[in-house]
Amino acid sequence: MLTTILINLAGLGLIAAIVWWFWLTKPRGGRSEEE
Amino acid sequence: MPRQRIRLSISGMSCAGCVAAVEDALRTVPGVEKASVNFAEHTAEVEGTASAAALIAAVKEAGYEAAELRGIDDETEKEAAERAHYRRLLIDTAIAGGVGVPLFLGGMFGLLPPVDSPGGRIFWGVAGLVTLAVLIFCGGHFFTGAWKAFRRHNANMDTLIAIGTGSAWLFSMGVILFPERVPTLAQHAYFDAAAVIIALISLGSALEMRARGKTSEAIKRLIRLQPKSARVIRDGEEMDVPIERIGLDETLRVRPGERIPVDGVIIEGSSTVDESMLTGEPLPVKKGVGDEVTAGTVNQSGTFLFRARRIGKDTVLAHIIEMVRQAQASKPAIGRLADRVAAVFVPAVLIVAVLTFLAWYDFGPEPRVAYALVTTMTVLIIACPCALGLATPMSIMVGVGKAAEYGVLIRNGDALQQASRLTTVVLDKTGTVTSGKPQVTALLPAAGWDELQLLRLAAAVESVSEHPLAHAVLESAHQRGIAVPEVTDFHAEAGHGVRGRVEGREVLLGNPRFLTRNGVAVEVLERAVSELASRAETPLLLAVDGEAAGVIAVADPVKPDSRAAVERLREAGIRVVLLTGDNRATAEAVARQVGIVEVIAQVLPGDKGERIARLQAEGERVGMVGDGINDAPALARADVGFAIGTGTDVAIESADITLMRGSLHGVADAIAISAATVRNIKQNLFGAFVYNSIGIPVAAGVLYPFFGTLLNPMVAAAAMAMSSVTVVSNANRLRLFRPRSSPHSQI
Repeated sequence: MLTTILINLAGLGLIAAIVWWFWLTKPRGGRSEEE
Repeated sequence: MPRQRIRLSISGMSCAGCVAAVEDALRTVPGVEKASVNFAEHTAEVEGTASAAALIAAVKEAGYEAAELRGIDDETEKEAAERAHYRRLLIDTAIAGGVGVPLFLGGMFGLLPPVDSPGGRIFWGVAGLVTLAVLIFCGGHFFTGAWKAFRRHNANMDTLIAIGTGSAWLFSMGVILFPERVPTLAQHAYFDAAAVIIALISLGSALEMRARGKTSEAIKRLIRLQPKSARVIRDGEEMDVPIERIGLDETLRVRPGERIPVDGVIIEGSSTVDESMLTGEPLPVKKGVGDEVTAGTVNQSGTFLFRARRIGKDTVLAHIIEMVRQAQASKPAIGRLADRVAAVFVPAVLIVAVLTFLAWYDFGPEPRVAYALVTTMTVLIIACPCALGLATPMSIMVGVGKAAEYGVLIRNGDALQQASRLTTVVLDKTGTVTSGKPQVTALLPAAGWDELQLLRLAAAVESVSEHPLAHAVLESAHQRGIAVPEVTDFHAEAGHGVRGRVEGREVLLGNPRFLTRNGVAVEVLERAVSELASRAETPLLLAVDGEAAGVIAVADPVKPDSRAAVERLREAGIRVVLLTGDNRATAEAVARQVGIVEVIAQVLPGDKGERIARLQAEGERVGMVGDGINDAPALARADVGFAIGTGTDVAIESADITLMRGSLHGVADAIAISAATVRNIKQNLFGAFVYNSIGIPVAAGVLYPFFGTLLNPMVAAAAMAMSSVTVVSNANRLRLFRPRSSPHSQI
């Protein structure tokens, strides 16, 4: 039971991390791909 | 260490983002004052006191390769590196294809042993090791590229490929090593997919590289204009000295047929010099003591001594090279469409993969962990579209070929994509809108004279003149089959006219001032003269024995199809501007003839590029059409430079697109073809992604609750094959494209 909760939390955390890394913390001011 | 300027050749940059990374790395080196990276050339220019070694170390630290370019001539090293890279891509394609295609075909026709048989495990184990070698040797750069993108919080095509091939390999090795842990449904090795993906993407890159990579051809050609060595007189002795060792104020000798090595002033002797490569003026110019000579021009007949006044990077030639180089550097490289799609697609797929894992872990059948792992991996494998690498290069290749059928040579894929987005087209006047060759347009004899007499006498006095207008008169006489009599006592007054004795009669030919000054009453011709001036034609007045005989009109005629071509551009919603160094009256007369409203006149040759930049600052995406060396900086500065194929080599090399027919219809054709190509690329990207996107939910197991199926390896193979077939056949559909209302049949 505990493992299941931990794994689910880890999975959701991973999704949050992906969103955070690729969208929320994209470097601003620098040149992006589109430029 | 003294302050210096160092040029580095940088390799490993795949996108504009890398430019920023390299620039940042260079700026952190102590002593660096200025650092700028030229993406088109893959070079960096650094000013400051830092040593080349320190700069190279910093670039390597950032994950790229660098080498010092010694001086402005050192372009061969870069060229060799590019050739080597192209060969490498072809080798990668062959190796990865050699491994992947037999596995793919063998699997499809059931020729390979099953994974769980004893012989099968050995076979697949060996296949796995071979595939690993392919991934490392042929596909290693995708993994480093993916890592570089990841560190910049980005995902691109490399990321997709790295994730797809990496998970395919890991998953397949898992199946082979622990078949008992993997549900029977999912027992399949995806080595073929991993290798074929690498092969297809490498092939795509090679195609792209072949179409690209000539951006610096213009610069190379300009550099070739400068001789490698020069004959210097030092302490009364003549010696050959490498060009970079020539100092200011040294005395140099130039012999007939040689190129002039540096800029300077003639101090002894005289000659004629062909300056056409710089000025576009076809006639050689007479030079004597005190006259300036320019590096890169060709000495024709005489020998002379001159004193070096400007050397190295200060010569006119070096300035032109620098202008072209800067203009190319300031041009933004168009972002790769596939990368932009991948930037969203990749994180989305990663999220789907995690959700898949959780769903199977929470709600799936036993063994839950095994099912969860299998489905997650297959989601990642199927998400990598094999045909993605082919989507853009295939369309560009066909589009470039299509354009060539219409006499439009496109240098690179970027230009093709940019041309579809142009909002303004700037036309140079002479040689672009007009034919560039003055012609006799009208013969207006005074009372008592006829056209043939007029032309015959005019041709006689002009027969020994070197003026371009003289050429027009002689050409006209020749066309009408007139036998031109001989002239004696010829005398030319530069900028005004010529005089001579023909068949015993005194003949004057020139502008009205010239005739008036020689006592000829020109009032009878006044009406004709003012009418010609309003049409921007040049009047040549002829007087015989002190009496006005008529007017010959000479003009640089508008090309017959210029008007129709301008109309096509305007119909396409494009703003058309005429840009010329000529006076406003002439420019406006020509503009009226072809239907152009906007005229920028009296622009100095050096300012043309700046005018383009001004239009760009207004938010326009500018295409420039020109033919001369003086147009080269403007052609390079414009978003898309179009060179008229009959123009100078340097203009052609500075331009992105060359119009072989010399007709402005080529511009409209190029824009139409490029729009069709960009549409085709988008369809291809859709085709490359769509089958795999459909495969993702299947891989995630949405069919399992209903049919008990997971991703069938046949589905994965079919997606791979179908997307490639779709992309290749859709790109070929472009061959059927015809630009609307182009008067040209195909070549």
